Amino acid sequence: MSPLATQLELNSLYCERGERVLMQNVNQCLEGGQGLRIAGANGSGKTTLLRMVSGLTTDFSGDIRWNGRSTRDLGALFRAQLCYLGHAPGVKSALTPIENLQWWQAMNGSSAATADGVSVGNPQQGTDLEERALAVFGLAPYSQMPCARLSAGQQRRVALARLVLSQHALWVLDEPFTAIDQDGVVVLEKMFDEHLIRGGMIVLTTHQPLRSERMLTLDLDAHRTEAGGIDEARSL
Amino acid sequence: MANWQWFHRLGSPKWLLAKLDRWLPWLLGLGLLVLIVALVWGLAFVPPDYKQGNSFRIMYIHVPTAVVALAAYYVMAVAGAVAMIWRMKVADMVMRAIAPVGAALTFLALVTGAIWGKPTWGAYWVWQDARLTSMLILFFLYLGVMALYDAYNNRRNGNRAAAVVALAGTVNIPIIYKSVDWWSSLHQPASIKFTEQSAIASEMLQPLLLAIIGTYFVFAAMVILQLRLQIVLGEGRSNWLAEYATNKLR
Amino acid sequence: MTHPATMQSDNESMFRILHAIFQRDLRVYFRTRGAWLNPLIFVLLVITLFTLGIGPDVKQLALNATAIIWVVALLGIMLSLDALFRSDYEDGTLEQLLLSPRPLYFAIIGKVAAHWLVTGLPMLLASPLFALMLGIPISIVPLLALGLFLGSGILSFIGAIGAAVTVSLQTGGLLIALIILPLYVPVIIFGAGLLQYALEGWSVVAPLMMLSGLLCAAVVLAPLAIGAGLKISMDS
Repeated sequence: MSPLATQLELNSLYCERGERVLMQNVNQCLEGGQGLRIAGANGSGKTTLLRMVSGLTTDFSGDIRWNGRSTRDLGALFRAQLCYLGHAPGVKSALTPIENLQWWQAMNGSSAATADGVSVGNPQQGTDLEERALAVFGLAPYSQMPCARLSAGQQRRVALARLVLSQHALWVLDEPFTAIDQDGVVVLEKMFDEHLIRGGMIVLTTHQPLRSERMLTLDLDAHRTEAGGIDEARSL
Repeated sequence: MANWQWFHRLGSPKWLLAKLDRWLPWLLGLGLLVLIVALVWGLAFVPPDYKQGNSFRIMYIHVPTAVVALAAYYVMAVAGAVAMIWRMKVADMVMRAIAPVGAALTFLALVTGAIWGKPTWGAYWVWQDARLTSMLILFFLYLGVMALYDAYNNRRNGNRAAAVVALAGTVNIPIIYKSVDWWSSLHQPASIKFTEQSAIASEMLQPLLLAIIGTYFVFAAMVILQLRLQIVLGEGRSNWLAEYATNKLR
Repeated sequence: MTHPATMQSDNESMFRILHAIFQRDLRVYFRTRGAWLNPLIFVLLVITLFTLGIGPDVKQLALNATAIIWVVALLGIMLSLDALFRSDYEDGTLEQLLLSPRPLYFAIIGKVAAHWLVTGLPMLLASPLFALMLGIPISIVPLLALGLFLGSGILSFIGAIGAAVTVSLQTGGLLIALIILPLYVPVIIFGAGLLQYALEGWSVVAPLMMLSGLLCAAVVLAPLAIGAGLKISMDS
C-alpha cells in the first residue's frame, strides 16, 4: 500500500426523487485512512448516496471528486480504485464460492494476481489466494459447493471475502453487516481497521455501532427538506 | 466560444419554452398556408395522370407524410444521441416529443397508401410494394420506442432507454429497407411502384415539393406542441415554470 | 495499492474480461439445464403446433417450412433473451460488471457470445430434426444449420439491446418483443431467403454474405447500445 495521499470529496450534492428533494447541500471530504459512515432514517437516501459515489446513479447535481478530479471524468481510472458491495451480494448462485471470487478477480483483480500465477479458467492451479480469502470468513469447507446451497449469511460472506482480495483504495459498502453473525462482525471490523491503517478509505451504511475513531459520520436526515419548489438555478 | 452560446441555451428548458411559444404560431401558420396552396394546386390544377387518372392525386398527401415520417425517425435518433453524449435534458424531451408525431405521420402514410392501392392494384394492401412494407416496419419501430418510454416510471431513464433503441433502429432502417426491397424482388421480379422517378412530370412534381415543405413545417409545429407538454411535465415543480405561467396569464 | 499506472495493458485487460465473463456464463448455463434446453423444446413444440394447424400434407408443410423455421427460431431466441441480464440484475453481479475498470464492451461481447453458443448450437444440431418434421430435403440441412447458426448470433446480439433496456422493468417479455422484432426483419428475410434459394437450386452466396455481414455489424455495434442500455437500467 503506497502512502500516496488520497482524497474523496463530495461537493454540494443535490438529488431529488419523484416529487421530493432527497438530499441537498451534502458536503464531505474524506482523506486516506478515514472512514465515513452514512447515517439516516430509512428512505433518507443512504443507498442512493453510495450509488452516486460509485457512479451507478448519475441523476444528481454537484460533483464527486477523487484526488481533485471528477469521478465522472476519471471513469475507469476511478473504478480501478473502487470496490463496491451493494444490497445484492453479487454472487452467482450456480457457481461455487471459489469460482465467484475468480471471475470477480478477473474483472477487478490487480496485476499482482497475475504475477502470482493466478489464471482464470484453470481451477486446478492458483486458487490459493481465493482459498485464503474464503478461510478468513470461515468458508473454507464450502469452497467447492454451489452458492445456491449456502445460507444467505454465507452468501454475504462470499461477497465480503472480496475485501480480503481487494487492493482498492476505496470501499463502498451498503449494509455490510446484514445477515452476518457475531464472529463475522468481529472479522469485518478488524478488516476495516486494517484497511484504514493502510491508508484506505471506507464509505458505508450500517446500523451496527462502530468503535473505530477513524470513522466520521454523515447524517442524511440533516440534509433533507420537506417537499417544496426547486430553486431556479438547479433547473437550468 | 460565442458560437456555442445558442447550443447551451438550447439546453435550458426555460429559455426554450419562451422561444417555442413565440415560434409556434408562425410555424403552424406558415405550414398550413403552404400546405393548402400545395394541395389545392395538386388536387385541382395538375392535369390527370394518363395511366392512373385522378387517383394519383392522393400522392400529395401520401408522399409528404411518408418522407417526413422517415426523416422524423432520424431527427428523433439524433436528438437521442445528443441527449446521451452531452447529457442534455432538452434533447431527451425532443426525442420523446417527436415519437408520437412521427408515428401519426407514418400511420397516415400507411392509410393513404392503402387507399391509393385500391384503384391501382385492386386491393388495399399489396405486400409486393417494398416501400409500403418498409413504412409498416417503421410504424412498428415508432410503436416500440413509445412502448419503451411508457414502461418506465422514471421519465429521464425512460427517455434515455428509448434513445438507445431509436439509435439502434436508425442503423437498422437502411438495412431493413434494402432487405425488404430484395425480398419483394425475390417474390415478384417486376414490382409495381406508385411513382417512378422518370415517369413523374415536373408539373406534378412542383406541388409535391411544396406539399413536402408544408408538411415539414406542420410537423415542426406539432413537435413543438408536444415539446411544450414535455417541458411542463419534466419541469413541473420548478419555480421558473410557475412564474412563467403567471406572467403569461397576466 | 494498485495505481492506474500499474494496471495491465489494454489488450490483456479486454481479453481477460471477455474470457472471464464468457466462461462464467457458460458454467452457469451448463449447471442450469433449462438455459440451453428450453429454447430448443420451445422450437420443437411450436413446429408441432404449426403442423397441427396446417395439416399433415408434407407438400403443404414444405411450402411453408422456411417461414415456420425462421419465425419459430426467432421467437425461441427472443424469449430466452429476457433472462440474459435479469439474473445478473437481481443477484447484483450486473453492478459488479458495470463497476469493473475493464472495458464493458468486451464483457458484453463475452456474455452475449455465451448466450449465442448455448442457444445457437442446439439449434444447429437439431436442424436435421426440423428438416425431418417439415419435409425439407436432407441435402439442404447443412445450409439450414449454417443459416440458423449465423442467424441466431445476429438475433442474440440485437435482441440483447432489448434485454438491456428492459431489465429493470417488471413487464420484460412482451416489451422486448415490441422493441426488437422490427429490428429482426432483415434476419428473417435473408434467413428464409437462404433456404428458398437453396430449395430452388440457386446460388446461395448472396443471402449467406448478407447474413455474415449482418452478424459482423451486430457483433461490433450492438455491444455499444447494450452497454448504454445496461447503464441506464442500473441508474435509478
